[in-house]
Amino acid sequence: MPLGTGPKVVSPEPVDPAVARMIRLDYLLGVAWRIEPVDVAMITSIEYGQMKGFSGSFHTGMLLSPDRNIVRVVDVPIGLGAVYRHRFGGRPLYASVGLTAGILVHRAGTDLGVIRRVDPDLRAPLRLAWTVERVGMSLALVPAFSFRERTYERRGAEVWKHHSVRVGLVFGLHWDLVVGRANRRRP
Amino acid sequence: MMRSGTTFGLALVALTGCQDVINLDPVDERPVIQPRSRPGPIIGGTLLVEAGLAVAADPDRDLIHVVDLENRRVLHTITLEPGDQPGRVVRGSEHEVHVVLRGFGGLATIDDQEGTLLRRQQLCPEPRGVAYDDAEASIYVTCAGGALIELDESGNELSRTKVEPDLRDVVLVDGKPVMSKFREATLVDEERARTTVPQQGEFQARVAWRTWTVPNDPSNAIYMLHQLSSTNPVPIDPPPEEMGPEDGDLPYGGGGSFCEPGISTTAVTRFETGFVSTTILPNARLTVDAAVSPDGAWLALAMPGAKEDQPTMAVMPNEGFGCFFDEGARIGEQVTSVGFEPDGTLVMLSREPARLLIQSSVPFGEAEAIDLPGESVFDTGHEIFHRATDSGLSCATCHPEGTDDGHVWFFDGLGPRRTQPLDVGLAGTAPFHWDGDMNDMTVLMEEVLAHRMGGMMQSGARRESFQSWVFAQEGRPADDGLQDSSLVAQGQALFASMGCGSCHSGDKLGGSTSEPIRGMRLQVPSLVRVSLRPPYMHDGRSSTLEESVVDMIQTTTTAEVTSDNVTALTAYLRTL
Ligand code: HEC
Ligand code: HEC
Repeated sequence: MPLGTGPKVVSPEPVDPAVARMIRLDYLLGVAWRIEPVDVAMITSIEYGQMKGFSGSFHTGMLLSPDRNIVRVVDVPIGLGAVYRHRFGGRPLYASVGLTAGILVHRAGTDLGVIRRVDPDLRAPLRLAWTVERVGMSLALVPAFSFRERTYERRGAEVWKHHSVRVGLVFGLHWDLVVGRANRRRP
Repeated sequence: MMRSGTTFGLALVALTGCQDVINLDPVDERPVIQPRSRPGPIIGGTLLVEAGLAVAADPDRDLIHVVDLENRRVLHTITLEPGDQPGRVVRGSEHEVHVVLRGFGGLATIDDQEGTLLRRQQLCPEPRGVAYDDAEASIYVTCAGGALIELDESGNELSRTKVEPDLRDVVLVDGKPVMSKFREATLVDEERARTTVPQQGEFQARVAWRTWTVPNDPSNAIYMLHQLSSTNPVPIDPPPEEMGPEDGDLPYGGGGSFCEPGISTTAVTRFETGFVSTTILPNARLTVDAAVSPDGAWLALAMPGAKEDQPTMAVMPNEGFGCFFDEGARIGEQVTSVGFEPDGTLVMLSREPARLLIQSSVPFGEAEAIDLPGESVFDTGHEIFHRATDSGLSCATCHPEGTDDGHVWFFDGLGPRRTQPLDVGLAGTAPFHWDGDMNDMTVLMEEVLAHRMGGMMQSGARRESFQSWVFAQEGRPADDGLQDSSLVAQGQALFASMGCGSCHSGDKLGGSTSEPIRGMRLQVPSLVRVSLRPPYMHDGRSSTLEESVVDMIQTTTTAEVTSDNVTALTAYLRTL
């Protein structure tokens, strides 16, 4: 149940993040800079793994280009990766760094019809998360690189341009769907 | 495993810094069509209309047709030599009709009843206008180089007067010849007294396509069809939002819309003694010929540069601000000449397809077509050059007859730029523009045709056809045999000894190198036909050839400026 309203998984003892395992789902909204134009960014991701330590991650989202006069662009990033999460002291405040690889699907509505492109996409999300019980808030800075600079021209003049580098700043909520004890690692 | 990893890595590296440029312009991919012999630029006004009869000269096919208008029948077709380029037509005595042969450099005289060529005589490199003086039974011919030639009925030269370069038409007022100047759009008489079109707001008169009088008009009025060119700053870098295909107002043009003049428009000026009035025709584009209806109420216009899906003729009120347009007019022909029969029937000549159109009532009415003999001369390069873009402008607007309009445009961010002539043989003279900022014709077509003018991008093959058409334009020397030959020889020697040839080099005397002049790096202009196109220099700062020579002596040599030197040099330059 994505919004965390399902039956509560009762844990017999307070969770020890050092050994806890979880699935985290988040929805984040913010902006993505590409040097000049600033896109609206919506990102959602699922992380599965240790609350403190490594998790696997899957993400997708939507980058909406604001100037929709001549080209109406939506970019959709999709990818998989890994996240390392660190806890600050005893507080429910975590910082994480990730690395993901995937694709960026570009779709543009133009007078000539819909134009589609797919580029490889690398991201390195840095995130601060504050979690109370199962719900929390995240602030993420997501530098990303999609390899190809893209320009639309009309009558010899550039009408739309995006660099291959972008930096997203997004803020949102997350829910931890399952939190349980990890199997004890062998010594 | 290693292998595929490396391949993947390399592919990623290859993608890095990759550019993906997506062009949103619909590219014109229509196939190229070129006739065996490519047509020259449109000159317009090659039709003589009388009661029941028309004599139509076809400069594209070197033919002259005599047409019976009453019975809708071609009576005779006279075939001239290839490249003769028949132009203006005038009635001589009884059965004689005189036709200017621009390409041949002379005059043809035909018998329109027999349909025979009586005479074909050479006069000057580029004859343009012709008039017949009934009282004296003499023929007047004007030449681009500045000569007014008077002939008797049998073609003997009576006189050759040096008037001014760039003469266009000649009309007779009280038996005296009055001539128009093409680029300057002024009238001059034999004494070189001139009458100008008053400045119309931001507009200056340029390019006198056609000048005529109406027979038996008591007011002795002279009509001139000319362009009006803006003296206001012209933006050359349109913002993207102004470049939608639906936008009428594009830069380098602006105001392609109804009743809005844009940066270049058409007008007819009527000169009477002590009275000049101008009718602005904001909806007319590249108008190359006009005629007034016998009742004086209507103006018929030939607009061969209209967009392909638009009529190339129009009838507008001959008064006030002519904001009138008959959307229902015929399309599918390219009208280059118009004339009225005395009963008010409008006759129009289409160059492609070769046709005569007859419309018995104006302004509205059905036109009937008479097909004229001759192969198709449809030519892709010619079309791209003449047809209007979304802004209403075509290349031919500023480069009429494949050359220049003599106008100093003021481009935002660049400053004043005098239009450069294109009939100097442009092949091998890239980069283009005064600053040399256009590397080649492809760049120029993208930047000027598509970006500034709002035209369509062209496929490679169409670009090629266009470029070869433009590069083929080469005017003849302006020498009308009026310069003192010893002075010319002296000037030529000075040109060499003063080092002018170090920059103005090659057979075009310039055109290919850039040199610093007064702190600005400029393409050295070709001096071919230089006498025809004042004002001079990139910014038009020298209004006469003499001034430009003084300027050059001062800026490029340490020699003293003497009036002898200037006279000799200009005499030489007038023969080029
Ligand atoms: C608004 C008037 C205007 C229009 C329309 C126009 N031109 Fe020009 N043209 C100019 C002017 C002014 C210059 C000099 C510009 C400069 O130096 O920046 C020029 C220069 C040129 C030159 C350079 C010649 C040389 O010797 O370097 C070429 C070639 C040319 N034009 C071709 C074209 C073509 C082809 C078109 C149509 C696509 C066109 N022009 C439309 C005004 C115009
Ligand atoms: C250093 C190279 C150079 C030399 C030497 C030179 N010119 Fe020029 N000439 C130019 C350039 C560049 C221009 C254009 C200047 C401008 O637009 O400001 C020009 C323009 C002209 C023009 C005007 C052409 C036009 O279409 O507007 C004439 C006429 C002319 N030169 C004649 C001469 C004569 C005569 C001499 C010898 C006394 C001479 N030039 C020597 C480079 C040169």
